[in-house]
Amino acid sequence: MALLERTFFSLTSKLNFKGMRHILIPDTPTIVIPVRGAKQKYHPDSFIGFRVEPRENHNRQYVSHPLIYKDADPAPRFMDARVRAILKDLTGCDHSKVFRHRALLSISAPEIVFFTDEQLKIAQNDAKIKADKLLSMPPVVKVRAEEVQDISFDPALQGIMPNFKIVFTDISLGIPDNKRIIVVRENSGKLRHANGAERQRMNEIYNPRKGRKHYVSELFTAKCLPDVLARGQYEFVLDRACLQFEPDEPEYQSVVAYVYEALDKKQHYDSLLSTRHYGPMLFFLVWHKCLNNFLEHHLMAGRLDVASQVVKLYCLLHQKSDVAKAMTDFRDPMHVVQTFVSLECMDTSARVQLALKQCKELLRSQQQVEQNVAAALGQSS
Amino acid sequence: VPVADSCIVNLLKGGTFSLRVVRNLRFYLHQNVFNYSVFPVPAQKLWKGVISVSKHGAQKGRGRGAGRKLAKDLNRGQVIGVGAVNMVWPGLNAPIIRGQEVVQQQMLGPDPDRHRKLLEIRDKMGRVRFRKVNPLERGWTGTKMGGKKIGPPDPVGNDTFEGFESVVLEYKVVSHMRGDGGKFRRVSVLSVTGDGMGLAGFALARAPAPNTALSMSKNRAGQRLIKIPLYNNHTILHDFHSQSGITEVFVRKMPEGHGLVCHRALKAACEIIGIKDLHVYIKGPKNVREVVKAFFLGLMKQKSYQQLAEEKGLHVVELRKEQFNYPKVLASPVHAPLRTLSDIPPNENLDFSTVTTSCLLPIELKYINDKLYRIQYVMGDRVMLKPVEEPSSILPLLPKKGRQPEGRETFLRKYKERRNFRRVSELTNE
Repeated sequence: MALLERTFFSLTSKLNFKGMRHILIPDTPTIVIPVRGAKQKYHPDSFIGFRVEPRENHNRQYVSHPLIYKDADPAPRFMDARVRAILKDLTGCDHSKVFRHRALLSISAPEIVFFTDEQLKIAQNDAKIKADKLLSMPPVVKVRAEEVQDISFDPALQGIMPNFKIVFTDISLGIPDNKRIIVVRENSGKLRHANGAERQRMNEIYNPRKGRKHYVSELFTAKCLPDVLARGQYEFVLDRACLQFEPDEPEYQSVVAYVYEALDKKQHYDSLLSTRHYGPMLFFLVWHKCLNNFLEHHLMAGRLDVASQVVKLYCLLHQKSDVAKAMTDFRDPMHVVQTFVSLECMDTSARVQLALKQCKELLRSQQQVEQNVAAALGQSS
Repeated sequence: VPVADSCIVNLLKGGTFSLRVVRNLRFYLHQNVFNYSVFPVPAQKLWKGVISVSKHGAQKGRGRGAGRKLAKDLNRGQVIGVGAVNMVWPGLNAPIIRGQEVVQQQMLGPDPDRHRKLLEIRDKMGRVRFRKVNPLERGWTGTKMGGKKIGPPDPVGNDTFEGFESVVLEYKVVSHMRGDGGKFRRVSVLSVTGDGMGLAGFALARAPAPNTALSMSKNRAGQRLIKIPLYNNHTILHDFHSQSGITEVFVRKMPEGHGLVCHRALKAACEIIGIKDLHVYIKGPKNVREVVKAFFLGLMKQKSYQQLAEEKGLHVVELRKEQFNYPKVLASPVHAPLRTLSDIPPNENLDFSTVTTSCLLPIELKYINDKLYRIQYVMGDRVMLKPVEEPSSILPLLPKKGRQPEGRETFLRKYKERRNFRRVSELTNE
């Protein structure tokens, strides 16, 4: 065993890590001996072994959904300033919802103060900055790549630790999880970077986040998730997903897509208004061209401004599409929506066309009312 | 009464009765006399022999409270006209004419249970027993009236007092010596009445009978209602101090879920008023009447936020920690001009809890036992000490008060594993 450890040291010193830890990923529980940093001397009698159990599974699986960002990378489009401006505008900022009391926060005695006008304005500005922070959207990125880079091949190390892989993790302070160096020495002698699942497991062990479960939570399974969404708790599920996963994980994107689809079917878009999830939800619908329900919902309510913004977003995300090319006047909302409906919705959805008609009627009647009121006032004055 | 029964039996046999027997019958029925044939002894005297307490015993106070023997009234459970012989007597226990028919005298079958029921009733009698109170209707104590609810005040004309409830705060049996000799015993009741939405009143009443005193008290309270302004229907508008006699009451506004942490009389009163969260400290004698008076006085004197905004010429703003300190404007001055920072003199007290008690003295800082305190001058020059919070340091997890302060380097090294990695590594230059 001592020879083995010394061999590892020589390898680690080559790679120049500070504070390494060896950990095995077994299929069955096993005793593991960690070794502290290459700088420290170790004594053979001072071993502290710890067990690494296989992951608790309960035979549960996360929901799966086909619409994840795996082909084209949405990140550059999502980071586009114009796209973000539209998403922020449509999300809105209802202070009573953004600053509402969250259930888990304990209530303390309210502080009542006297403010001058200037002090009040400063406080309100601070509130705006806080609101922006609270409404900062979880990033929309491409699913992480499955392929991993090989580093080296050492046939001399073949078969030294049969049945196990050996994972080296850099646990130095001050390194974010996504930049941490995690490499795997396989039984064949190959040294490669750790894949996504291995990275996730190692980070979970050495840097556990509060609220993150190390097992598959029942909430995200096909058994439980539909019930929760049927109750309209979309924001809760999305918040939990943001807590549990990283944005580039395929599981996260599946769960989130599942939620968006359920929301879209029931047209409960307003439940995410003034939350940080509205932007990514809208981005998802526009990217995957599932706008029929959205447009129908908003046009029936006469919200032409929202519909036109969404169509503009469509043009930004699908710059080579027919709609983007046919669009001439971006300032006229009716023209914008009309172009989209005539090009995209003619074959797919009769309801959207009907909704557009309804919207036109609504606007016309509103105009009429305004004219009548103006005329009446004009006459009286 | 064996004499009366024997007369009836005579009548049935078709016999007559003489006037003298009738006279005796009436006399005997009236007097409840057991005819020994030599000594007719009235019931009162017989019972006195069983119940009475000796002169010496009476001096010691025997036979006064619960458990003392009582005379059994043998008339209870019996009605004139009904006896051991179960018979229909038209004119006595039945009408003479029922519909078209004339009712006849009729012998009904014997009632086997009558005697047993009489005995049951008589077995229960004989001792003073307090009435059992349902646990849900109990006051502060099992059999006493303090804290017990007594229903809404009686309706007066069109006022029906719907939604009102009254509670007894004090139930005392008091007495004074009458001029013509002897003690005059009365019941004194202090009660509070209210609708749970801010309307409430309290009153004291004294009467010889307990029920009379209770109803008098709640009705009088119903005639003395005041409207108490509440904050979100669960607490008062602001902290205040109030006084009645030498009883002082320091009342603090509390957030939702805190509950009523106060004297039990004030707790009962708050439930009636509609206050759900409060903290009260009473300084001085805790006489219930004075405490309630002081409390109500303070509640009446509360200033609305609009009033305070006008007085100060500033916005009254609420900041809640769990709502990320979002500035919620409760009131803005409408008539008074809005002041700027330059208009406010440096000495002016802008501390809300002290300003609400209209005391505009400057805030002083004072060290007491090496701790920094801020002295708040609350209404009428009474001093309340409030500790000043330490300015928050860069690293939030500093050792708590009781422990020795560690060297910074050792501390950082010790807490490295549990702390913000980036920050710590920067500071220790790793």
